[in-house]
Amino acid sequence: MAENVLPLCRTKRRVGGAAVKRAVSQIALHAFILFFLVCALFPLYLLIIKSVKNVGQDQMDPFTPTFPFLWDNYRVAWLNISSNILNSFIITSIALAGLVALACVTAFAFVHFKFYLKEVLFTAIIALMMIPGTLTLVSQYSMVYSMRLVNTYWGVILPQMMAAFPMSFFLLTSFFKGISRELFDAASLDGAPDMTMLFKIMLPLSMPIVATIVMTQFMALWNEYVWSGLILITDGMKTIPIALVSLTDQFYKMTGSYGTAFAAYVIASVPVIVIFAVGSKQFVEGMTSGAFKM
Amino acid sequence: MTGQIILNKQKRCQWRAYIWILPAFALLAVFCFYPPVYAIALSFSDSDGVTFGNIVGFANFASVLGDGMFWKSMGNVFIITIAGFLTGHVANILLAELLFHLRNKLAGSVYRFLFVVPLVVPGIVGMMIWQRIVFTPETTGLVNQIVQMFGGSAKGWYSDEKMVMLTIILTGFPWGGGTTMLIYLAGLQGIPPELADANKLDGLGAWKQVFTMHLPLMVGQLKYFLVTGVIQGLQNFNLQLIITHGGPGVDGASNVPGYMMYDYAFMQSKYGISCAIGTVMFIITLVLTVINRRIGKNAEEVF
Repeated sequence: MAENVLPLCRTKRRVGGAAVKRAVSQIALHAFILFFLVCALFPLYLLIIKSVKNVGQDQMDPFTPTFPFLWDNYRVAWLNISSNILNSFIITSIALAGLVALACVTAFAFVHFKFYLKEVLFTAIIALMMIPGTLTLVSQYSMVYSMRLVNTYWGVILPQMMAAFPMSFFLLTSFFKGISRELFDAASLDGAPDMTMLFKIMLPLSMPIVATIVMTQFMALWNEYVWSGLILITDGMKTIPIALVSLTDQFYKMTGSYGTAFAAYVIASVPVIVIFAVGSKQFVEGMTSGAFKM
Repeated sequence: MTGQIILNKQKRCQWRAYIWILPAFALLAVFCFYPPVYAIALSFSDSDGVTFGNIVGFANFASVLGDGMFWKSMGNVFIITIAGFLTGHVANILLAELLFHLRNKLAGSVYRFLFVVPLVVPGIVGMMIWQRIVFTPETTGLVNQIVQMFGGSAKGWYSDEKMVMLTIILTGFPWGGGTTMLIYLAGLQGIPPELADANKLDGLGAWKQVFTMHLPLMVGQLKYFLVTGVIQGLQNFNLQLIITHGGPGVDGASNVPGYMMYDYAFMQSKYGISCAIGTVMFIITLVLTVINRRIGKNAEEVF
Protein backbone atom coordinates (compact mmCIF):
# COMPACT_ATOMS: atom_id res chain seq x y z
CA MET A 1 0.00 0.00 0.00
CA ALA A 2 2.59 2.47 1.15
CA GLU A 3 4.63 1.90 -1.95
CA ASN A 4 1.74 2.78 -4.21
CA VAL A 5 0.60 5.87 -2.43
CA LEU A 6 3.82 7.56 -1.39
CA PRO A 7 5.20 8.35 -4.88
CA LEU A 8 1.92 10.08 -5.65
CA CYS A 9 2.42 12.47 -2.76
CA ARG A 10 5.99 13.04 -3.82
CA THR A 11 5.20 14.07 -7.38
CA LYS A 12 3.61 17.32 -6.17
CA ARG A 13 5.46 20.16 -7.83
CA ARG A 14 8.02 21.81 -5.65
CA VAL A 15 9.47 25.28 -5.85
CA GLY A 16 12.98 25.58 -7.36
CA GLY A 17 15.11 25.68 -4.18
CA ALA A 18 13.38 22.75 -2.58
CA ALA A 19 13.80 20.63 -5.73
CA VAL A 20 17.56 21.28 -5.84
CA LYS A 21 17.85 20.46 -2.15
CA ARG A 22 15.91 17.28 -2.79
CA ALA A 23 18.23 16.25 -5.65
CA VAL A 24 21.34 16.91 -3.55
CA SER A 25 20.01 14.85 -0.69
CA GLN A 26 19.19 12.02 -3.10
CA ILE A 27 22.77 12.05 -4.41
CA ALA A 28 24.11 12.01 -0.86
CA LEU A 29 21.81 9.08 -0.15
CA HIS A 30 23.21 7.12 -3.11
CA ALA A 31 26.78 7.93 -2.10
CA PHE A 32 26.21 6.76 1.44
CA ILE A 33 24.53 3.54 0.36
CA LEU A 34 27.30 2.80 -2.16
CA PHE A 35 29.96 3.30 0.50
CA PHE A 36 28.12 0.89 2.76
CA LEU A 37 27.78 -1.57 -0.08
CA VAL A 38 31.47 -1.49 -1.00
CA CYS A 39 32.44 -2.16 2.63
CA ALA A 40 29.96 -5.03 2.87
CA LEU A 41 31.04 -6.69 -0.37
CA PHE A 42 34.79 -6.07 -0.23
CA PRO A 43 35.68 -9.23 1.75
CA LEU A 44 33.69 -11.28 -0.79
CA TYR A 45 35.55 -9.66 -3.65
CA LEU A 46 38.85 -10.50 -1.95
CA LEU A 47 37.73 -14.10 -1.41
CA ILE A 48 36.96 -14.52 -5.11
CA ILE A 49 40.13 -12.93 -6.48
CA LYS A 50 42.32 -14.75 -3.96
CA SER A 51 40.76 -18.09 -4.88
CA VAL A 52 42.54 -17.96 -8.25
CA LYS A 53 45.95 -16.80 -7.00
CA ASN A 54 49.12 -18.73 -6.25
CA VAL A 55 51.45 -17.89 -3.35
CA GLY A 56 53.54 -15.36 -5.26
CA GLN A 57 50.58 -13.54 -6.77
CA ASP A 58 48.96 -13.22 -3.34
CA GLN A 59 52.16 -11.81 -1.84
CA MET A 60 52.70 -9.28 -4.63
CA ASP A 61 49.13 -8.12 -5.22
CA PRO A 62 46.94 -9.06 -2.29
CA PHE A 63 44.00 -6.82 -3.26
CA THR A 64 43.84 -6.78 -7.07
CA PRO A 65 43.13 -9.53 -9.60
CA THR A 66 46.25 -11.12 -11.12
CA PHE A 67 46.65 -13.04 -14.36
CA PRO A 68 46.74 -15.82 -15.31
CA PHE A 69 44.01 -17.16 -13.04
CA LEU A 70 45.05 -20.32 -11.28
CA TRP A 71 41.94 -22.43 -11.96
CA ASP A 72 43.77 -25.46 -10.66
CA ASN A 73 42.84 -24.31 -7.13
CA TYR A 74 39.22 -25.16 -7.95
CA ARG A 75 40.10 -28.61 -9.33
CA VAL A 76 42.08 -29.53 -6.21
CA ALA A 77 39.42 -28.09 -3.93
CA TRP A 78 36.64 -30.00 -5.69
CA LEU A 79 38.55 -33.30 -5.46
CA ASN A 80 38.85 -32.81 -1.72
CA ILE A 81 35.38 -31.62 -0.80
CA SER A 82 32.99 -33.27 -3.28
CA SER A 83 32.14 -36.12 -0.92
CA ASN A 84 31.54 -33.66 1.94
CA ILE A 85 29.19 -31.68 -0.27
CA LEU A 86 27.24 -34.88 -0.93
CA ASN A 87 26.98 -35.50 2.83
CA SER A 88 25.73 -31.97 3.37
CA PHE A 89 23.16 -32.43 0.60
CA ILE A 90 21.80 -35.65 2.07
CA ILE A 91 21.54 -34.25 5.58
CA THR A 92 20.18 -30.85 4.57
CA SER A 93 17.55 -32.13 2.16
CA ILE A 94 16.16 -34.87 4.43
CA ALA A 95 16.06 -32.56 7.46
CA LEU A 96 14.49 -29.76 5.44
CA ALA A 97 11.82 -31.96 3.86
CA GLY A 98 10.99 -33.48 7.23
CA LEU A 99 10.87 -30.10 8.92
CA VAL A 100 8.59 -28.46 6.38
CA ALA A 101 6.20 -31.43 6.22
CA LEU A 102 6.00 -31.76 10.00
CA ALA A 103 5.64 -28.02 10.62
CA CYS A 104 2.94 -27.60 7.96
CA VAL A 105 0.86 -30.53 9.16
CA THR A 106 1.13 -29.51 12.82
CA ALA A 107 0.50 -25.82 12.20
CA PHE A 108 -2.52 -26.67 10.06
CA ALA A 109 -3.94 -28.83 12.85
CA PHE A 110 -3.51 -26.04 15.39
CA VAL A 111 -5.17 -23.44 13.19
CA HIS A 112 -7.89 -25.60 11.67
CA PHE A 113 -9.09 -27.98 14.40
CA LYS A 114 -10.59 -27.52 17.81
CA PHE A 115 -9.30 -29.85 20.51
CA TYR A 116 -8.68 -30.05 24.22
CA LEU A 117 -5.41 -28.66 25.59
CA LYS A 118 -4.78 -26.77 22.36
CA GLU A 119 -3.56 -23.62 24.12
CA VAL A 120 -1.35 -25.60 26.50
CA LEU A 121 0.26 -27.63 23.73
CA PHE A 122 0.76 -24.51 21.63
CA THR A 123 2.48 -22.71 24.51
CA ALA A 124 4.63 -25.79 25.14
CA ILE A 125 6.02 -25.63 21.59
CA ILE A 126 6.51 -21.85 21.64
CA ALA A 127 8.24 -22.05 25.04
CA LEU A 128 10.90 -24.26 23.45
CA MET A 129 12.17 -21.20 21.58
CA MET A 130 13.28 -19.78 24.93
CA ILE A 131 15.43 -22.81 25.81
CA PRO A 132 19.01 -22.06 24.86
CA GLY A 133 20.94 -24.60 22.79
CA THR A 134 23.74 -24.36 25.32
CA LEU A 135 21.50 -26.02 27.90
CA THR A 136 20.70 -29.01 25.75
CA LEU A 137 23.89 -29.54 23.73
CA VAL A 138 25.55 -31.85 26.23
CA SER A 139 22.49 -33.83 27.35
CA GLN A 140 21.35 -34.23 23.76
CA TYR A 141 24.76 -35.52 22.81
CA SER A 142 24.72 -38.14 25.54
CA MET A 143 21.20 -39.14 24.49
CA VAL A 144 22.14 -39.46 20.81
CA TYR A 145 25.26 -41.32 21.89
CA SER A 146 23.22 -43.88 23.81
CA MET A 147 20.88 -44.24 20.81
CA ARG A 148 23.99 -45.27 18.87
CA LEU A 149 23.44 -42.48 16.35
CA VAL A 150 26.93 -40.99 16.60
CA ASN A 151 28.64 -40.82 13.20
CA THR A 152 25.33 -41.37 11.36
CA TYR A 153 23.26 -39.01 9.21
CA TRP A 154 20.23 -39.49 11.46
CA GLY A 155 22.21 -38.34 14.48
CA VAL A 156 22.47 -34.96 12.78
CA ILE A 157 19.14 -34.89 10.93
CA LEU A 158 16.67 -35.59 13.75
CA PRO A 159 18.03 -33.20 16.42
CA GLN A 160 18.64 -30.41 13.88
CA MET A 161 15.22 -30.81 12.36
CA MET A 162 13.51 -30.64 15.75
CA ALA A 163 15.68 -27.73 16.89
CA ALA A 164 14.31 -25.73 13.95
CA PHE A 165 10.74 -26.93 14.46
CA PRO A 166 9.38 -24.45 17.06
CA MET A 167 10.37 -21.35 15.06
CA SER A 168 9.05 -22.75 11.77
CA PHE A 169 5.84 -23.83 13.48
CA PHE A 170 5.43 -20.37 15.02
CA LEU A 171 5.88 -18.62 11.67
CA LEU A 172 3.49 -20.99 9.89
CA THR A 173 0.73 -20.74 12.47
CA SER A 174 0.86 -16.95 12.46
CA PHE A 175 0.73 -16.93 8.68
CA PHE A 176 -2.08 -19.53 8.50
CA LYS A 177 -4.15 -17.53 10.98
CA GLY A 178 -4.05 -14.59 8.61
CA ILE A 179 -5.72 -16.62 5.85
CA SER A 180 -9.42 -15.93 5.66
CA ARG A 181 -11.53 -18.34 7.68
CA GLU A 182 -14.41 -18.11 5.17
CA LEU A 183 -12.35 -19.95 2.57
CA PHE A 184 -12.30 -23.00 4.80
CA ASP A 185 -15.88 -22.85 5.90
CA ALA A 186 -16.84 -22.77 2.24
CA ALA A 187 -14.54 -25.67 1.50
CA SER A 188 -15.74 -27.76 4.43
CA LEU A 189 -19.34 -27.19 3.35
CA ASP A 190 -18.33 -28.65 0.03
CA GLY A 191 -17.16 -31.66 2.00
CA ALA A 192 -13.49 -31.20 1.17
CA PRO A 193 -11.24 -33.48 3.27
CA ASP A 194 -8.65 -31.89 5.56
CA MET A 195 -5.74 -32.92 3.36
CA THR A 196 -7.28 -31.20 0.36
CA MET A 197 -7.73 -28.04 2.39
CA LEU A 198 -4.12 -28.09 3.48
CA PHE A 199 -2.70 -28.74 0.04
CA LYS A 200 -5.21 -26.92 -2.15
CA ILE A 201 -5.94 -23.83 -0.05
CA MET A 202 -3.50 -23.32 2.82
CA LEU A 203 -0.16 -24.14 1.20
CA PRO A 204 -0.63 -22.33 -2.11
CA LEU A 205 -1.59 -19.19 -0.18
CA SER A 206 1.36 -19.61 2.20
CA MET A 207 4.14 -19.97 -0.34
CA PRO A 208 6.03 -16.81 0.74
CA ILE A 209 6.39 -17.95 4.34
CA VAL A 210 7.16 -21.55 3.31
CA ALA A 211 9.86 -20.22 0.97
CA THR A 212 11.26 -18.10 3.80
CA ILE A 213 11.42 -21.10 6.10
CA VAL A 214 12.97 -23.29 3.41
CA MET A 215 15.63 -20.72 2.62
CA THR A 216 16.59 -19.70 6.15
CA GLN A 217 16.61 -23.32 7.32
CA PHE A 218 18.51 -24.46 4.25
CA MET A 219 21.21 -21.95 5.12
CA ALA A 220 21.14 -22.85 8.80
CA LEU A 221 21.42 -26.58 8.08
CA TRP A 222 23.99 -26.19 5.33
CA ASN A 223 26.17 -24.05 7.61
CA GLU A 224 25.65 -25.89 10.90
CA TYR A 225 28.96 -26.58 12.56
CA VAL A 226 28.90 -27.29 16.30
CA TRP A 227 26.46 -30.22 16.41
CA SER A 228 27.55 -31.99 13.22
CA GLY A 229 31.15 -31.51 14.30
CA LEU A 230 30.39 -33.53 17.42
CA ILE A 231 28.36 -36.26 15.72
CA LEU A 232 30.21 -36.85 12.45
CA ILE A 233 33.62 -38.22 13.31
CA THR A 234 35.09 -39.98 10.29
CA ASP A 235 36.28 -38.00 7.26
CA GLY A 236 33.85 -39.78 4.95
CA MET A 237 30.85 -38.59 7.01
CA LYS A 238 31.82 -34.96 7.51
CA THR A 239 29.63 -32.16 6.18
CA ILE A 240 31.05 -29.23 4.25
CA PRO A 241 31.54 -26.72 7.11
CA ILE A 242 33.53 -29.21 9.19
CA ALA A 243 35.57 -30.24 6.17
CA LEU A 244 36.31 -26.60 5.30
CA VAL A 245 37.63 -25.85 8.77
CA SER A 246 39.88 -28.89 8.85
CA LEU A 247 41.00 -28.60 5.20
CA THR A 248 41.98 -24.93 5.39
CA ASP A 249 45.15 -25.65 7.33
CA GLN A 250 45.86 -28.84 5.35
CA PHE A 251 45.70 -26.93 2.08
CA TYR A 252 47.87 -24.21 3.54
CA LYS A 253 50.56 -26.73 4.47
CA MET A 254 50.25 -28.42 1.07
CA THR A 255 50.47 -25.34 -1.16
CA GLY A 256 51.72 -22.56 1.12
CA SER A 257 48.72 -20.41 0.23
CA TYR A 258 45.04 -20.19 1.09
CA GLY A 259 44.10 -20.16 -2.62
CA THR A 260 42.79 -23.72 -2.63
CA ALA A 261 40.89 -23.23 0.63
CA PHE A 262 39.29 -20.05 -0.73
CA ALA A 263 38.29 -21.92 -3.90
CA ALA A 264 36.66 -24.51 -1.63
CA TYR A 265 34.77 -21.72 0.21
CA VAL A 266 33.43 -20.43 -3.09
CA ILE A 267 32.35 -23.93 -4.16
CA ALA A 268 30.61 -24.42 -0.80
CA SER A 269 28.60 -21.23 -1.37
CA VAL A 270 27.29 -22.31 -4.79
CA PRO A 271 24.30 -24.34 -3.51
CA VAL A 272 23.17 -21.37 -1.41
CA ILE A 273 23.55 -19.10 -4.44
CA VAL A 274 21.36 -21.47 -6.46
CA ILE A 275 18.69 -21.57 -3.74
CA PHE A 276 18.80 -17.79 -3.63
CA ALA A 277 18.53 -17.39 -7.37
CA VAL A 278 15.44 -19.61 -7.37
CA GLY A 279 13.66 -18.29 -4.31
CA SER A 280 14.91 -14.80 -3.52
CA LYS A 281 11.68 -13.11 -4.64
CA GLN A 282 9.49 -15.32 -2.47
CA PHE A 283 12.02 -15.09 0.33
CA VAL A 284 11.98 -11.29 0.41
CA GLU A 285 8.18 -11.38 0.28
CA GLY A 286 8.05 -13.74 3.26
CA MET A 287 10.64 -11.82 5.24
CA THR A 288 8.66 -8.64 4.69
CA SER A 289 5.23 -10.16 5.35
CA GLY A 290 5.25 -8.85 8.90
CA ALA A 291 5.47 -12.27 10.57
CA PHE A 292 8.78 -11.33 12.18
CA LYS A 293 7.62 -9.30 15.11
CA MET A 294 6.25 -9.79 18.57
CA MET B 1 -26.48 -23.24 5.08
CA THR B 2 -25.67 -20.77 7.83
CA GLY B 3 -27.05 -23.21 10.35
CA GLN B 4 -24.47 -25.73 9.23
CA ILE B 5 -21.61 -23.28 9.70
CA ILE B 6 -22.69 -22.51 13.25
CA LEU B 7 -22.94 -26.22 14.00
CA ASN B 8 -19.47 -26.73 12.59
CA LYS B 9 -18.04 -23.96 14.72
CA GLN B 10 -19.70 -25.18 17.89
CA LYS B 11 -18.37 -28.72 17.62
CA ARG B 12 -16.38 -29.24 20.79
CA CYS B 13 -13.42 -31.45 20.04
CA GLN B 14 -12.25 -32.76 16.71
CA TRP B 15 -10.46 -35.88 17.85
CA ARG B 16 -8.65 -36.42 14.56
CA ALA B 17 -6.57 -33.36 15.41
CA TYR B 18 -4.53 -35.48 17.81
CA ILE B 19 -3.52 -37.79 14.97
CA TRP B 20 -2.31 -34.74 13.03
CA ILE B 21 -0.15 -33.48 15.86
CA LEU B 22 1.05 -36.86 17.10
CA PRO B 23 4.19 -37.19 14.92
CA ALA B 24 5.43 -33.75 15.92
CA PHE B 25 4.86 -34.33 19.60
CA ALA B 26 6.49 -37.76 19.55
CA LEU B 27 9.65 -36.24 18.08
CA LEU B 28 9.42 -33.14 20.27
CA ALA B 29 9.20 -35.30 23.39
CA VAL B 30 12.44 -37.08 22.53
CA PHE B 31 14.50 -34.31 20.98
CA CYS B 32 13.14 -31.13 22.57
CA PHE B 33 11.38 -31.77 25.88
CA TYR B 34 13.57 -34.51 27.30
CA PRO B 35 17.07 -33.01 26.75
CA PRO B 36 16.60 -29.87 28.92
CA VAL B 37 15.19 -31.99 31.76
CA TYR B 38 18.07 -34.44 31.45
CA ALA B 39 20.55 -31.54 31.29
CA ILE B 40 19.27 -30.12 34.56
CA ALA B 41 19.48 -33.60 36.13
CA LEU B 42 23.05 -33.97 34.85
CA SER B 43 24.02 -30.63 36.37
CA PHE B 44 23.55 -32.20 39.81
CA SER B 45 25.76 -35.20 38.97
CA ASP B 46 29.44 -35.94 38.46
CA SER B 47 28.73 -37.62 35.12
CA ASP B 48 31.67 -38.27 32.81
CA GLY B 49 29.44 -38.71 29.78
CA VAL B 50 29.58 -42.51 29.79
CA THR B 51 27.53 -43.05 32.95
CA PHE B 52 25.25 -40.76 34.93
CA GLY B 53 27.59 -40.96 37.95
CA ASN B 54 26.62 -39.86 41.46
CA ILE B 55 24.38 -37.09 42.65
CA VAL B 56 26.63 -34.36 44.03
CA GLY B 57 24.03 -31.78 45.02
CA PHE B 58 24.95 -28.19 44.26
CA ALA B 59 28.70 -28.85 44.08
CA ASN B 60 28.86 -28.18 40.32
CA PHE B 61 27.02 -24.89 40.70
CA ALA B 62 29.29 -23.88 43.56
CA SER B 63 32.41 -24.54 41.51
CA VAL B 64 31.00 -22.76 38.43
CA LEU B 65 29.89 -19.68 40.37
CA GLY B 66 33.15 -19.62 42.31
CA ASP B 67 35.22 -19.78 39.14
CA GLY B 68 36.73 -16.46 38.06
CA MET B 69 36.88 -17.70 34.47
CA PHE B 70 33.09 -18.12 34.41
CA TRP B 71 32.52 -14.48 35.40
CA LYS B 72 35.13 -13.30 32.94
CA SER B 73 33.30 -15.29 30.25
CA MET B 74 29.95 -13.87 31.28
CA GLY B 75 31.41 -10.38 31.01
CA ASN B 76 32.81 -11.17 27.57
CA VAL B 77 29.58 -12.63 26.24
CA PHE B 78 27.56 -9.65 27.49
CA ILE B 79 29.99 -7.24 25.83
CA ILE B 80 29.92 -9.20 22.57
CA THR B 81 26.13 -9.57 22.58
CA ILE B 82 25.36 -5.95 23.45
CA ALA B 83 27.96 -4.56 21.07
CA GLY B 84 26.77 -6.92 18.35
CA PHE B 85 23.16 -5.91 18.90
CA LEU B 86 23.93 -2.19 18.86
CA THR B 87 26.26 -2.21 15.85
CA GLY B 88 24.04 -4.57 13.87
CA HIS B 89 20.79 -2.77 14.52
CA VAL B 90 22.04 0.78 14.23
CA ALA B 91 23.61 -0.20 10.90
CA ASN B 92 20.53 -2.02 9.65
CA ILE B 93 18.01 0.63 10.72
CA LEU B 94 20.21 3.29 9.14
CA LEU B 95 20.48 1.24 5.98
CA ALA B 96 16.74 0.58 5.87
CA GLU B 97 16.07 4.32 6.32
CA LEU B 98 18.50 5.18 3.52
CA LEU B 99 16.90 2.68 1.16
CA PHE B 100 13.41 3.79 2.21
CA HIS B 101 14.13 7.41 1.31
CA LEU B 102 15.51 6.57 -2.13
CA ARG B 103 13.19 7.85 -4.83
CA ASN B 104 14.63 5.75 -7.65
CA LYS B 105 12.73 2.46 -7.44
CA LEU B 106 15.07 0.50 -9.72
CA ALA B 107 18.21 1.56 -7.86
CA GLY B 108 16.43 0.70 -4.62
CA SER B 109 15.73 -2.86 -5.62
CA VAL B 110 19.25 -3.35 -7.05
CA TYR B 111 20.78 -2.12 -3.77
CA ARG B 112 18.43 -4.25 -1.75
CA PHE B 113 19.46 -7.33 -3.72
CA LEU B 114 23.18 -6.57 -3.40
CA PHE B 115 22.88 -6.14 0.36
CA VAL B 116 21.35 -9.59 0.63
CA VAL B 117 24.14 -11.21 -1.43
CA PRO B 118 26.59 -11.72 1.49
CA LEU B 119 24.01 -14.13 2.95
CA VAL B 120 25.07 -16.76 0.42
CA VAL B 121 28.40 -17.17 2.16
CA PRO B 122 28.14 -19.88 4.82
CA GLY B 123 28.50 -18.43 8.33
CA ILE B 124 31.61 -20.46 9.07
CA VAL B 125 33.14 -19.33 5.79
CA GLY B 126 32.32 -15.73 6.63
CA MET B 127 34.18 -16.13 9.89
CA MET B 128 37.18 -17.68 8.17
CA ILE B 129 37.22 -14.89 5.59
CA TRP B 130 37.61 -12.43 8.44
CA GLN B 131 40.26 -14.61 10.04
CA ARG B 132 42.33 -15.30 6.91
CA ILE B 133 41.72 -12.24 4.73
CA VAL B 134 40.67 -9.21 6.75
CA PHE B 135 42.35 -9.68 10.13
CA THR B 136 45.18 -12.01 9.00
CA PRO B 137 48.35 -11.73 11.05
CA GLU B 138 50.46 -11.57 7.85
CA THR B 139 51.54 -8.15 6.63
CA THR B 140 49.46 -8.67 3.47
CA GLY B 141 46.23 -8.83 5.48
CA LEU B 142 43.66 -6.14 4.71
CA VAL B 143 43.59 -4.47 8.13
CA ASN B 144 47.35 -4.79 8.57
CA GLN B 145 47.88 -3.08 5.20
CA ILE B 146 45.60 -0.22 6.24
CA VAL B 147 47.30 0.07 9.64
CA GLN B 148 50.74 0.10 8.02
CA MET B 149 49.61 2.79 5.60
CA PHE B 150 49.01 5.02 8.62
CA GLY B 151 52.37 4.14 10.14
CA GLY B 152 51.23 1.41 12.53
CA SER B 153 52.68 -2.07 12.72
CA ALA B 154 51.13 -5.35 11.60
CA LYS B 155 49.78 -7.65 14.28
CA GLY B 156 47.78 -10.84 14.80
CA TRP B 157 44.43 -9.33 15.66
CA TYR B 158 42.77 -12.44 17.04
CA SER B 159 45.93 -13.51 18.86
CA ASP B 160 46.57 -10.24 20.68
CA GLU B 161 45.19 -10.44 24.20
CA LYS B 162 44.38 -6.73 24.32
CA MET B 163 42.88 -6.48 20.85
CA VAL B 164 40.91 -9.70 20.62
CA MET B 165 37.59 -8.43 22.03
CA LEU B 166 37.64 -5.31 19.86
CA THR B 167 38.52 -7.47 16.87
CA ILE B 168 35.57 -9.77 17.56
CA ILE B 169 33.23 -6.77 17.76
CA LEU B 170 34.62 -5.34 14.53
CA THR B 171 34.24 -8.69 12.75
CA GLY B 172 31.49 -8.36 10.17
CA PHE B 173 31.87 -4.60 9.63
CA PRO B 174 29.77 -2.74 8.41
CA TRP B 175 27.27 -5.13 10.04
CA GLY B 176 24.47 -4.09 7.70
CA GLY B 177 22.50 -6.08 5.16
CA GLY B 178 20.86 -9.46 5.10
CA THR B 179 17.54 -10.44 6.57
CA THR B 180 17.53 -7.94 9.43
CA MET B 181 17.65 -5.06 6.98
CA LEU B 182 14.84 -6.60 4.93
CA ILE B 183 12.60 -6.89 7.98
CA TYR B 184 13.19 -3.26 9.00
CA LEU B 185 12.63 -2.09 5.46
CA ALA B 186 9.33 -3.98 5.43
CA GLY B 187 8.44 -2.31 8.71
CA LEU B 188 9.06 1.12 7.19
CA GLN B 189 7.13 0.33 4.05
CA GLY B 190 4.25 -0.87 6.17
CA ILE B 191 3.77 2.55 7.80
CA PRO B 192 0.42 3.94 6.68
CA PRO B 193 0.97 6.82 4.21
CA GLU B 194 -1.61 8.96 6.04
CA LEU B 195 0.69 9.01 9.05
CA ALA B 196 3.68 10.03 6.96
CA ASP B 197 1.67 12.83 5.35
CA ALA B 198 0.43 14.09 8.69
CA ASN B 199 4.01 14.29 9.88
CA LYS B 200 5.07 16.12 6.75
CA LEU B 201 2.39 18.72 7.37
CA ASP B 202 3.71 19.08 10.90
CA GLY B 203 7.03 19.94 9.30
CA LEU B 204 8.94 17.12 10.94
CA GLY B 205 12.46 16.73 9.58
CA ALA B 206 13.76 13.40 8.32
CA TRP B 207 15.76 12.70 11.48
CA LYS B 208 12.91 13.62 13.78
CA GLN B 209 10.62 11.34 11.82
CA VAL B 210 12.94 8.42 12.50
CA PHE B 211 12.71 8.83 16.24
CA THR B 212 9.16 10.05 16.68
CA MET B 213 7.45 7.88 14.09
CA HIS B 214 9.54 5.11 12.51
CA LEU B 215 11.14 3.61 15.61
CA PRO B 216 7.96 3.59 17.71
CA LEU B 217 6.10 1.92 14.85
CA MET B 218 8.80 -0.72 14.52
CA VAL B 219 8.69 -1.70 18.19
CA GLY B 220 7.29 -5.10 17.17
CA GLN B 221 10.31 -5.86 14.97
CA LEU B 222 12.75 -4.48 17.55
CA LYS B 223 11.27 -6.70 20.24
CA TYR B 224 11.51 -9.75 18.02
CA PHE B 225 15.18 -9.01 17.35
CA LEU B 226 15.91 -8.23 20.98
CA VAL B 227 14.53 -11.55 22.18
CA THR B 228 16.04 -13.75 19.46
CA GLY B 229 19.26 -11.72 19.28
CA VAL B 230 20.01 -11.83 23.00
CA ILE B 231 19.18 -15.52 23.34
CA GLN B 232 21.32 -16.41 20.34
CA GLY B 233 24.08 -14.00 21.28
CA LEU B 234 24.46 -15.37 24.80
CA GLN B 235 24.89 -18.93 23.60
CA ASN B 236 26.97 -18.34 20.52
CA PHE B 237 30.52 -19.66 20.62
CA ASN B 238 31.28 -20.42 16.97
CA LEU B 239 34.03 -17.84 16.80
CA GLN B 240 35.70 -19.16 19.95
CA LEU B 241 35.45 -22.71 18.65
CA ILE B 242 36.96 -21.90 15.27
CA ILE B 243 39.29 -18.96 15.79
CA THR B 244 40.30 -18.04 19.34
CA HIS B 245 39.57 -21.13 21.50
CA GLY B 246 38.69 -18.74 24.29
CA GLY B 247 42.16 -17.24 24.23
CA PRO B 248 44.68 -15.96 23.49
CA GLY B 249 46.45 -16.59 26.78
CA VAL B 250 45.19 -18.58 29.73
CA ASP B 251 42.99 -15.87 31.24
CA GLY B 252 40.16 -16.36 28.76
CA ALA B 253 40.62 -13.07 26.93
CA SER B 254 37.76 -13.98 24.57
CA ASN B 255 36.18 -16.88 26.46
CA VAL B 256 32.40 -17.21 26.65
CA PRO B 257 30.25 -19.55 28.80
CA GLY B 258 29.11 -21.52 25.74
CA TYR B 259 32.68 -22.38 24.87
CA MET B 260 33.50 -23.21 28.52
CA MET B 261 30.58 -25.59 28.53
CA TYR B 262 31.72 -27.21 25.28
CA ASP B 263 35.25 -27.50 26.60
CA TYR B 264 34.21 -29.05 29.93
CA ALA B 265 32.02 -31.68 28.27
CA PHE B 266 33.90 -32.64 25.14
CA MET B 267 37.54 -31.93 26.02
CA GLN B 268 37.53 -32.78 29.74
CA SER B 269 34.54 -35.19 30.01
CA LYS B 270 33.13 -33.21 32.95
CA TYR B 271 29.46 -33.38 31.96
CA GLY B 272 28.17 -32.32 35.37
CA ILE B 273 29.97 -28.98 35.47
CA SER B 274 29.25 -28.47 31.79
CA CYS B 275 25.50 -28.89 32.34
CA ALA B 276 25.66 -26.63 35.41
CA ILE B 277 26.96 -23.85 33.15
CA GLY B 278 24.15 -24.61 30.70
CA THR B 279 21.58 -24.42 33.50
CA VAL B 280 22.92 -21.08 34.74
CA MET B 281 22.74 -19.74 31.18
CA PHE B 282 19.18 -21.00 30.91
CA ILE B 283 18.15 -19.19 34.10
CA ILE B 284 19.77 -15.97 32.86
CA THR B 285 17.93 -16.29 29.54
CA LEU B 286 14.63 -16.81 31.36
CA VAL B 287 15.15 -13.77 33.57
CA LEU B 288 16.04 -11.63 30.55
CA THR B 289 12.99 -12.86 28.66
CA VAL B 290 10.70 -11.94 31.56
CA ILE B 291 12.33 -8.51 31.90
CA ASN B 292 11.99 -7.97 28.17
CA ARG B 293 8.28 -8.81 28.33
CA ARG B 294 7.81 -6.27 31.12
CA ILE B 295 9.73 -3.57 29.30
CA GLY B 296 8.00 -4.47 26.07
CA LYS B 297 4.60 -4.01 27.70
CA ASN B 298 5.60 -0.65 29.13
CA ALA B 299 6.99 0.42 25.79
CA GLU B 300 3.69 -0.43 24.11
CA GLU B 301 1.83 1.69 26.65
CA VAL B 302 4.18 4.61 26.06
CA PHE B 303 3.86 4.55 22.30
